[in-house]
Amino acid sequence: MGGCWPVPTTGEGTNSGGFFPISIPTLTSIPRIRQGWGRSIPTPGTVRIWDTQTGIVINDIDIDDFGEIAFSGNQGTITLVVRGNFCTYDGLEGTQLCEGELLQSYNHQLGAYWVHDGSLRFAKSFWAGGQLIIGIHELQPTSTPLLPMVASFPVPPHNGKLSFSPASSHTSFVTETEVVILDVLDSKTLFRTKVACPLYVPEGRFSLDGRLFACGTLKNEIYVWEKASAGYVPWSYLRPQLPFTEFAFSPVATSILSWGPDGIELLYPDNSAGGARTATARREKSVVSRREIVDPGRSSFHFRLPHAHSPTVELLAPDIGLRTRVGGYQHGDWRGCLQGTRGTVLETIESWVKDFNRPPIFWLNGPAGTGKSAIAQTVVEWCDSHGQLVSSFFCSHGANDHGNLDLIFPALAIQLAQKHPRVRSILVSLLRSDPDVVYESPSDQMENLIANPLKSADVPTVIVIDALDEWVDDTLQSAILSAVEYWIEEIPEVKFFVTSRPKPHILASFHLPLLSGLADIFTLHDTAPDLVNNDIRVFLKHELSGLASQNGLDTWPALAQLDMLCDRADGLFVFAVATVKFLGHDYVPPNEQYAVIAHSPDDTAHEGTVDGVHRGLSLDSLCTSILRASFRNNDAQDDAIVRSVLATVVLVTRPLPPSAIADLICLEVEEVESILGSIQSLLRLHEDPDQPVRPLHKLLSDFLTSPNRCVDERFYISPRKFHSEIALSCLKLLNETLDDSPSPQNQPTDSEVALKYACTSRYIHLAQARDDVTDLIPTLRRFLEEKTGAWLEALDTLGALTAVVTARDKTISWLRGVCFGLFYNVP
Amino acid sequence: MLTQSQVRASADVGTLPDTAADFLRFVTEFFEVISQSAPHIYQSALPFAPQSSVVRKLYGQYISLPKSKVVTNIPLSWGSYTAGAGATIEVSCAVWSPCDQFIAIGWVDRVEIRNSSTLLSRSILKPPNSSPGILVAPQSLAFSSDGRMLACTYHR
Repeated sequence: MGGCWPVPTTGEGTNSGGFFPISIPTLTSIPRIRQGWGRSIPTPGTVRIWDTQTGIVINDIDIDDFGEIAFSGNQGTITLVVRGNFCTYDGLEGTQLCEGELLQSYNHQLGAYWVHDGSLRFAKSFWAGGQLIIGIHELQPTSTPLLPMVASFPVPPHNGKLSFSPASSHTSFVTETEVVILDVLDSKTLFRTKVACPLYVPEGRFSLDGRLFACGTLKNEIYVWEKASAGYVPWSYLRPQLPFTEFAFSPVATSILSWGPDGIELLYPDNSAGGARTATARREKSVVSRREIVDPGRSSFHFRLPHAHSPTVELLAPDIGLRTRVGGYQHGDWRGCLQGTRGTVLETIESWVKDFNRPPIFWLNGPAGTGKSAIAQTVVEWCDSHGQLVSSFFCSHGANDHGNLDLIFPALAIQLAQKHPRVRSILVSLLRSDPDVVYESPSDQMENLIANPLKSADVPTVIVIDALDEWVDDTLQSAILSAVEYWIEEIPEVKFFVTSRPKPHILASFHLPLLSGLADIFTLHDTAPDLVNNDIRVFLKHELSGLASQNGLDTWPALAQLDMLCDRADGLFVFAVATVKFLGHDYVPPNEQYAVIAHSPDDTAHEGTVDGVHRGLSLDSLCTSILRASFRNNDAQDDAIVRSVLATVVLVTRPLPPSAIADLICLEVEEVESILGSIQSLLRLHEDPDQPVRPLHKLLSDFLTSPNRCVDERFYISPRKFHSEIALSCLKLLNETLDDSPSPQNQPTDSEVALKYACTSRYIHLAQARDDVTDLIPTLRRFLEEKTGAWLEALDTLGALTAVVTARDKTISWLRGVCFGLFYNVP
Repeated sequence: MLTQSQVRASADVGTLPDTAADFLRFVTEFFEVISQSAPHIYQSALPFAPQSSVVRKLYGQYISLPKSKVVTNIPLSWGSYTAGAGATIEVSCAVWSPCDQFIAIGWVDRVEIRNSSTLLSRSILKPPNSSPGILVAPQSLAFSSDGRMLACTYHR
């Protein structure tokens, strides 16, 4: 999910008269009103506003009387409607902008209202001379009401509830015995029907596009009518399983949400093959399925897609434990800072760890390649060696595959359990009683797996989360921060050390009042450049003299050569690391390798702009030099293969071993290994071909996929094109491997890594495929029409059946995109 | 202008979104049984898929019923009910996000954002501080039109 959520487009207003100048699509509120609520005196309250992406509180506004609320537009202006009055606030500043009355008399009754870009539109009614007078009014909260639209109807004098369509002048009036829909513009009754026990609260609801109207009854039914040329016609009949007090159409009116004392329920009104008949026929079955889903013994979160293989404590080791080692700091060849470097920052962190009066969160931020992960590694090692209970999760250590994202808190908890007996016994008893807890939302995981055990254990703990920004999903990054923020005050003995690049959404979270008070912020690029450069020099000197002595070079590197490398590194530790790896070639002596990068083209630009200073220019040219030196033959066919291999390393959602890359893109393993081997200084490559290969640093992926930085077209990887290519490879592999009919062949074994990857991740590439989509359609059609049953079998075997929901959602929206030509660059 | 092949691709898409949507419906409806073990797809789910469903038309030939030969009362089309979230605490208010993908739910003790197709929880939002033992129940919820902000009224 990107920076902002798309607003759905709904139908245009059906009336072209002067009354509906508002463009309907931007209406924001679902009409609802609970007038009065039996209160006779004002009850003071609070309006709390959250940022939905981070869950962090933006503001709290004190109000004199609480009521119904709606946003107008995106600027944070809020309109509060309380018992016939309205009040507008600036939600971000917390100041009141204006207030006024909607009803002029106590016997006037307020109906639903809509708020849109500062305008408030509402319906009101009153009785006069045996007639119901209905008015729809609109006002700018800062000016006097506009001319109201008023019509009178001879409706029997019953009490009723008003609601009106946002897309037309149609207004509903629901009484105890009947439902009436009127056209206020023509003073005409469009539809009138007797309904047994219609619900008083809520009144009827129109969908945003005005096409559907629904009304609930006290017998727990919902009737849905559709607008037709002559009035309204019955369209669907729903029977929610749980008792409801209110319901609402979704913005695009494909579903209805109902809620009440026992929970919420999603309903799909559908009139195909006679909605009413079908719903009745299915009643018995639905009751059974409700019993399976709803568990009244628990307080929340009753419906969830259960995992096929719920892990018990005994299963934790193979399932969670393995991933923990991947995410933890002892995995692989990751190194901390060289002793004697990064003095200032390490001292600052050390004093923060020791001093429990300091804020409980430490956020270390800095541009990519400045050594954040090495510092985090050092912090964990330091804590471990000083007997401090510490648990860590390194997102950059290849733990950022899709399946692991949700497992950060379980992974942290398992490490804590391994190290501390009290935490272990608490976790063991928790997992025995509720093994599914590891699949709950981040906040629930944080509560159950971290906060509660550590609260009972009462032991000082440091939790390290490295490279938070390198996760696939912004929303999850924010969800983790919000979960930490939510629970941190409950566990005063626990400290969180978080590193990331200063990405806008993370930066924004840490600068909001609530989190900023809880966090120490250390900005790496504020460290004096001289100090950083000196650290890099110490590192290079140490590593290069090691290389020199291995190769019997006494006079290498010369001081000028070291100076040049330090100059080029320009504060980026990743440059120094890549250089050292490149110089340490197996067969070519380092001084000859040095000659290759000494003449790097300095002609690229780079994203990592800090305070207006361009960094990483030399990193780009280093990469270009290494690539050019590794692939000297300028052969179009060979280059295409190199690009395919590189693209698969860079774009896959979780790292694959060379053997799986070969299977996926139909190459020989030896060929893939040879390509990867020739640029091993830019990768983290194992000797074992079954171990996954990853880019040395995220900067390499950024470099290869950016047309401005990777100026050599031979190596540029266009994500638009290569996501298509990988999606196609995945689909072809599935189509070729899976059987049409039920078969054991549809159950991937552990060794079929590429097939497993294609099963669980193909939709992620499909969703981002933009170029060459025409080739994908026939392959996708074959997959959907012939292989989906087998795919479900495969996912079931892999315990990844929940992926179906996301996969189908993404596939459907991608297909619609193709259908409407959204992905083409139309001039 | 779209190229010919692009226009053809748009036409080729045809009913594929409906096919994909039908599969989604199939899996959510029979999730409990399918997740027990893979053969249930053909033994316990497909035989009960509605007569009009695309999944049944495409894969009906693989239905495997070990004992019985006749299944009656197969619904004509998918029913209306898909997902519910029961609770011992009351829901006092709820609202859809403008993008249709999320639902904000005001439980008596918390506000929660959930995915609107699966009802899985995305995040739980903190209520204002209250005196110990006193619940501050959310009263009314609203999303801003870009979905970035969520407001909720509480009484004190």
